[in-house]
Amino acid sequence: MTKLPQEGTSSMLFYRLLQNIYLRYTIAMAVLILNSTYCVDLPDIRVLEASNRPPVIDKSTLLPSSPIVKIDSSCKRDFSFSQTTELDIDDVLYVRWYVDYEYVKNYQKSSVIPAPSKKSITRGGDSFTLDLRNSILPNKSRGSLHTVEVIVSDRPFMIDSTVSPVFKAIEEGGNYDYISWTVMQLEDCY
Amino acid sequence: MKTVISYSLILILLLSACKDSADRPKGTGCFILGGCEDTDYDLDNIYFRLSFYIDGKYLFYQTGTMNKSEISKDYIITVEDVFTLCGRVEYDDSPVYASIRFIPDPRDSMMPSVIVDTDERGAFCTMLKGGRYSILISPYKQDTIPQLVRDVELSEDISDLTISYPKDDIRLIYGSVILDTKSGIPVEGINVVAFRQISNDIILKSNISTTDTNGSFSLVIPDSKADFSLMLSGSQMNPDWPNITFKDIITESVIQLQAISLGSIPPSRQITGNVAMDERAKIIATMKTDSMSYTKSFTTDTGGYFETNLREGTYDIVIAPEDIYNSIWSISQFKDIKIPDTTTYKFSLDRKTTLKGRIISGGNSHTPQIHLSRMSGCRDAGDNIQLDTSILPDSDGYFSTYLSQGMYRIVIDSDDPTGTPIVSNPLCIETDMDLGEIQLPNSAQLNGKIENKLGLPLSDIRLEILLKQKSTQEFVPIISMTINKESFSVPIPNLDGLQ
Repeated sequence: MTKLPQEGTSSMLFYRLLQNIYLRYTIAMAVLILNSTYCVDLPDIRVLEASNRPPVIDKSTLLPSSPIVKIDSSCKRDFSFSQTTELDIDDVLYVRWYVDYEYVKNYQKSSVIPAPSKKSITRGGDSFTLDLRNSILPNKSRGSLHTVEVIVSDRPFMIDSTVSPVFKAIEEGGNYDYISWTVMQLEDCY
Repeated sequence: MKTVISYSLILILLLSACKDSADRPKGTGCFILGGCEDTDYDLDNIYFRLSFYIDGKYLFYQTGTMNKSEISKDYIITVEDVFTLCGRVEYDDSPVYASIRFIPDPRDSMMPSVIVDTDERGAFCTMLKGGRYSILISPYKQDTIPQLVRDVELSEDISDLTISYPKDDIRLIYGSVILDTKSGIPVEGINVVAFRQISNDIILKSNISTTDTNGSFSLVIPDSKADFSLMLSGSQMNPDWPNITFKDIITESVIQLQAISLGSIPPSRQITGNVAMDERAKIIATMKTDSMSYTKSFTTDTGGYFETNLREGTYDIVIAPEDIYNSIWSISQFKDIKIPDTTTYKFSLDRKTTLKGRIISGGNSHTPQIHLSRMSGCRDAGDNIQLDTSILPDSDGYFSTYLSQGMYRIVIDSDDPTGTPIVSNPLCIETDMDLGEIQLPNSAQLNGKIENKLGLPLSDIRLEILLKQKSTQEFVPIISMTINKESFSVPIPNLDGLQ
C-alpha cells in the first residue's frame, strides 16, 4: 500500500497540487517543452525551398528527329525543338546553339525563352538554321562532318568569356538540358 | 431596390469589360516592319509547306500556294499520289554504300530534297510524291567511286529500281601535279576532282583523288563524252593551297593529262600587323581570281597583334572580334589589301551600332520577343558572317541592343499561340537605328483539314507558313506549328486586311 504524506506538511500540499488534473497537464507540458528545448539534441529541421529544377527539352519535338543529318548542295538545314518543360515557371530560359565548337569556340545563335505569360510548366522552343556557307565556319568541303549542339539553361550564360568552357559556362546554380546532331556534308559549300 | 441596381451595374460593367477585351484590336493589319506599301514580300499569296512522317520513317514534304482570297475558306490539303520507290545501287556488280538525293524536276525551292541512305547491300527505299526526279548518288567511298546522276519518272510504286554504274559510259583519267615546270618536283597531298555543272542544283563529280608521293592522281568520270572541269585544292596533309579550277580541260579524247604545274600559284609571304583592340579577333582573308580562290582564317593575340603567312595577291579581309556577340567592336571589312606591302598592317574596327525601339502591347498580355538575324555584310564585300540572336524587351516594351553592322532581318513575335509576327524587309543597319513604336499585327486564321486519300499512317504533321521575297525568290518561314491528322487552325498574316 502506498504511504501518503502527513496532513499539513509541505509534502502533502505538493501531493494535493498534483491531484489537480489541469495542473498535472500544465506541469507535464512544461517538462516536455523544457526537455525538448534543453535536453534533447533535436535535428536541424527547416522548411526547404524546392531546389532549382532543370529545363527539359521535349525530345519528341526535335527536328530533325534523327541524330545524324545529311546536308545537300543547298548547304542549309533547320534544327529545332518546339517544346520545353520547366517546373520553375518563372525561370527565363537561355538558349545557345553551337556549330563545330571544337574549332569555333563560340556560339552561333543566342536566344531566350521567356517565362510563359500564362502559368504553365510547358513553353515553346527555338530553332536555328545552319548555313555551311557562313564564313565563320571552317571545313566546307564535301564529306566534312559537323556537330550542331544546343544548350537550354535556366540561368544566364557567363558573361566572362574566359571561364571554361568558354561561352558554354552557366552562372552558379543553373541547370541545363542539351542536344546534339552530327551533320554530314554531301556537297562542297564554299 | 438599391441592391438590385448595384448588382445590375456591376454585371453590366463586367459584361462590357469582356466585350472590350474580345473586340479590341490587337494591332494593325500590316505585318511588315516599316509598312506594307513598299515591301519586297509577295503580299497576295501565302505559301505553305506541310511535312509529316509516313509509317514513322519516311519524311515527306508537300508545298502549296494560297491566294489571299482563299484564306477565309476552309482549306483542304490533299495527300495523294504518294508512291514507294525501292531499289539498289551497284558498281562493277558490287553494292554501293551511298547517299541518294531525290531532286524534283522542275525544282520547287520550297521543297527540301529527300536524302536516303543505302544499306550495306546497296538497297534503299523511300516514299515520294509522283513526278519526275533527278537522282544524285554520292558514294561514301568517294576516293574511288564517282557520283552518278539518273532520272526517274514516278507514277506508280517501283519496288526494284536497279541503278548500275555503266561499264562503257565511263572514263579513267590519269595525271600528276608538279611544283613548277623547271624543277618538276611532284607535289603530294593535293586533292583533285573533276566536275560538271548539270543544273542549278546538281554538280556531278568524279571520285576525289589525293596525289601520292609521285604527285600522281587517277579519276573515274561517270560520263564518256561530256567535257569536265578539274579542281585542285589542299588536303589535310597539305592544306595551304588555293582552290584552282581548270575549266573544261577534260574533253572526250583525253585520257592522260599533262603534268599540272602549281608554278603560277603565288608564293607565301610572312606578314605582321595589328588590329586596334584589346581583345582577340578572327581575321578571314580571301583572294579570288577567275581560276583561283584562296581563303585563310587566323586569329590575333589578346592585344590585337597578328603574324601569319599569306600568298601574294589582293585580298578582301573581314575582321570579327572573337567574342562576336559581347564585344563593343563590329564585324568590319577591308577591301583590296595588297600582300605583301611595305607598311605594317594596321586595322581599326568600327564600333557596333545601337538598335532600339518599343513594342506596344495593345492590351495583349503575351510576352513579345525580338529576333535579329544578320544575313551578311551590307554590301558585297565577301562578308558572309551570319549571326542570330533574340532578346526580350523590358516590362514597358522598350528594347535596346548593340549590333555589328550588316544586313538584318528582324522578326518580332510573342508567345501568343494565336498571334503572328511582324517581319522586316532585309535592313542594312550601319548607324544607330530607332525602330520607334511597334505594335504586333492582327492575325487571320487559316482553318482546314488534311485529306489523307490513301489512308497512309501519318505522324508528326507540321505546317509551316512562309512569305516569298520577290527579288530573291527566297521563302522566309514565319509560322511553324504541329497540327493534328484531321483538321487544323493556324494563325497567318492578315493579307485580307491590308489596304
